[in-house]
Amino acid sequence: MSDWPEDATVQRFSDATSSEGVMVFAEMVDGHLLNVGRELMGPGREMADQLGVTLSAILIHHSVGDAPQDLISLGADKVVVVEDPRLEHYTTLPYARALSDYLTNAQRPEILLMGATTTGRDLAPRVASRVDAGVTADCTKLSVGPFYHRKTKSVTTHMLEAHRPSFGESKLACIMSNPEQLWAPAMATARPGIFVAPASDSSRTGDVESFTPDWQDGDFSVEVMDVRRGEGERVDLGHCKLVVAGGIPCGQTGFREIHDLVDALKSQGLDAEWGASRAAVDAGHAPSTRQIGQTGQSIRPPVYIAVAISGAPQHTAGMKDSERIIAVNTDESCTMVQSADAAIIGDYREVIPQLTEKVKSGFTFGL
Amino acid sequence: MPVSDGDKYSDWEVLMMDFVVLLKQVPKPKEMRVTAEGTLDRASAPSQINQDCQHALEMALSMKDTYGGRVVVVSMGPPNFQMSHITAMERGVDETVLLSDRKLGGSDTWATGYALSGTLKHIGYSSERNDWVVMGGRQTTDGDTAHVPSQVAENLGIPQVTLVETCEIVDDSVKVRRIVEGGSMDLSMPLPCMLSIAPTAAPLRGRNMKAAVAVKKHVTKDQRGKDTFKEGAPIFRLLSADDVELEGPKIGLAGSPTIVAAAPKVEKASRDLQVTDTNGLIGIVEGWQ
Repeated sequence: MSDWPEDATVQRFSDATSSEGVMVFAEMVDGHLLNVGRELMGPGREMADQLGVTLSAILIHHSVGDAPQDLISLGADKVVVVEDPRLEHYTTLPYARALSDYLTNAQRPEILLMGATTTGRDLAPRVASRVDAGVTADCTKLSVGPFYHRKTKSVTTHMLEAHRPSFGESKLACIMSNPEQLWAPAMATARPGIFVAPASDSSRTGDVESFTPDWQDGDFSVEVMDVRRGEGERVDLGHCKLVVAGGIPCGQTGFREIHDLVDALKSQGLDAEWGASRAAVDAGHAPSTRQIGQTGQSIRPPVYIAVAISGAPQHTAGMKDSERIIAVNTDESCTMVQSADAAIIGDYREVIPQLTEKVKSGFTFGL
Repeated sequence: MPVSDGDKYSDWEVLMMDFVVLLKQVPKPKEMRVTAEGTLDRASAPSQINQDCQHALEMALSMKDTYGGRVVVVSMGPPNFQMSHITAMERGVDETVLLSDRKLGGSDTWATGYALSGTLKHIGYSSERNDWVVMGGRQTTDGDTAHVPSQVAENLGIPQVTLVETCEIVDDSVKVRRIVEGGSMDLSMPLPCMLSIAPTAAPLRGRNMKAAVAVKKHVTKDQRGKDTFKEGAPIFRLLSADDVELEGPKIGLAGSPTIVAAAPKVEKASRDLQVTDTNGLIGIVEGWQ
């Protein structure tokens, strides 16, 4: 990608698009900053330094609390705050108004990053169509570099390289801005759990700027009737060394066996937790706060044990990058077994109590 | 009713809504191949209705069962998308519209959102009317972006909600349940609006014999022996980019703000499956260190 003929025209992306800076949309839920926003400060800061520009974050919520300072400690030079009591729960139109107004009227960054959450995946394409910008979904790697466009014989430098798995994950496509339709910001969403949040440094300083969008009739036409987000405390499975997850066949009895196994692991001093597939959550066997997969948590623990989970793509999206996968299943041909490191083919009702006994006598899965 | 042949229902005291479904035909996921340019070779793989679009189609059909009205399928793609349109017809769809033009090849999601919204406007669906809803699947198996429903909605200037599991019409609004992390939320949407349907919604029904018989008289075989609509079939419309009056600079590869700059193969760190029992597992785990 870095070879081009000598007579090619060369332009810098930010010059050609009159844009400047890297920006992260840091999502907040119930007054708390989501981890994915912190994680994006990692690639955000790195790219801003490479480009020699500022890194800013934008917060859109009913009340942002300490989040601005949190983001500054993680590397933001500036935090833009859009606060309004009507922004408590995410709906597309007011959030799209806030973000697109900022991009259009205040500052147009060259790069805009968002978490690929249910919010980010809804908001990013809407804003991209509104402000005329390209957007790449579910990136796993972000970098900047030049692109030589053969058709127009032009080189555009300092462009976002948004890498994403494609074609059944057999390829890692690098998506860049089209020199024939060169618009800023270059937008990308990234799955939670892909990037690692930088170390927080509370001595860092930055600006906090408040922004008031030009609200329009109809921005609040969608009414939020009710919100249910998991009973009890949110369980962060992302930091665990070992996660045991159960599928729908486990039922209440199977999940009790799983709890026993996890308790035994904890007694051995291991940072272990249990999770569930969406089907098991829907069936009431586990709270949604423990759901793993596309609409739950994305995790990659050192050891993942899948109990009676067949391996639907919606589930594997949330755990396939685990270092080691152990499957317990009666069906050897299922996806989960076939993509595991080790599998025990058998009934979980026999296998899990056996594993629990092993753990009680000192077996900790090599951890 | 923009693409029907008359307004015979106009005096009825029933809800006469149009449930519009954005439907994509995709290569069967396991049989996809990639061209030298890094784009998908759609022509050579067997096709099916995209999985998530099947859920959207079912949602629309069940809305029609409950409230009456019509289901209209709209797609953008090559002429062989008619196969999926016929499949949809056999399940109770009333009419299908296909935007098909070589100029649209290489469109990214921004350009696709523009082209599909232009098609909807062309056949009469605008933010000014409140007797219609448009539904799409969450995402496609060959693109995997989940962008298009949002981008169609923005271009139409109508509200959207994604990851919808259930919906019902209450007075002049649509009540939906949307999946969010760790739970769900209930929303009341004004009409018209865009609903992007979650893969956990109901699966697509089987063929309806009556509908299958009715559609059969409009179907013939193309040169390759594939099902296609007969010329002039009143239940199908084939439109070009010019028909829909799309602006040239906004369509196809050149009109797309993103391009695939490179698509190198990933050497998958494949896992070496070892099938074992509980005792054997201990030995295997020791070998991992």
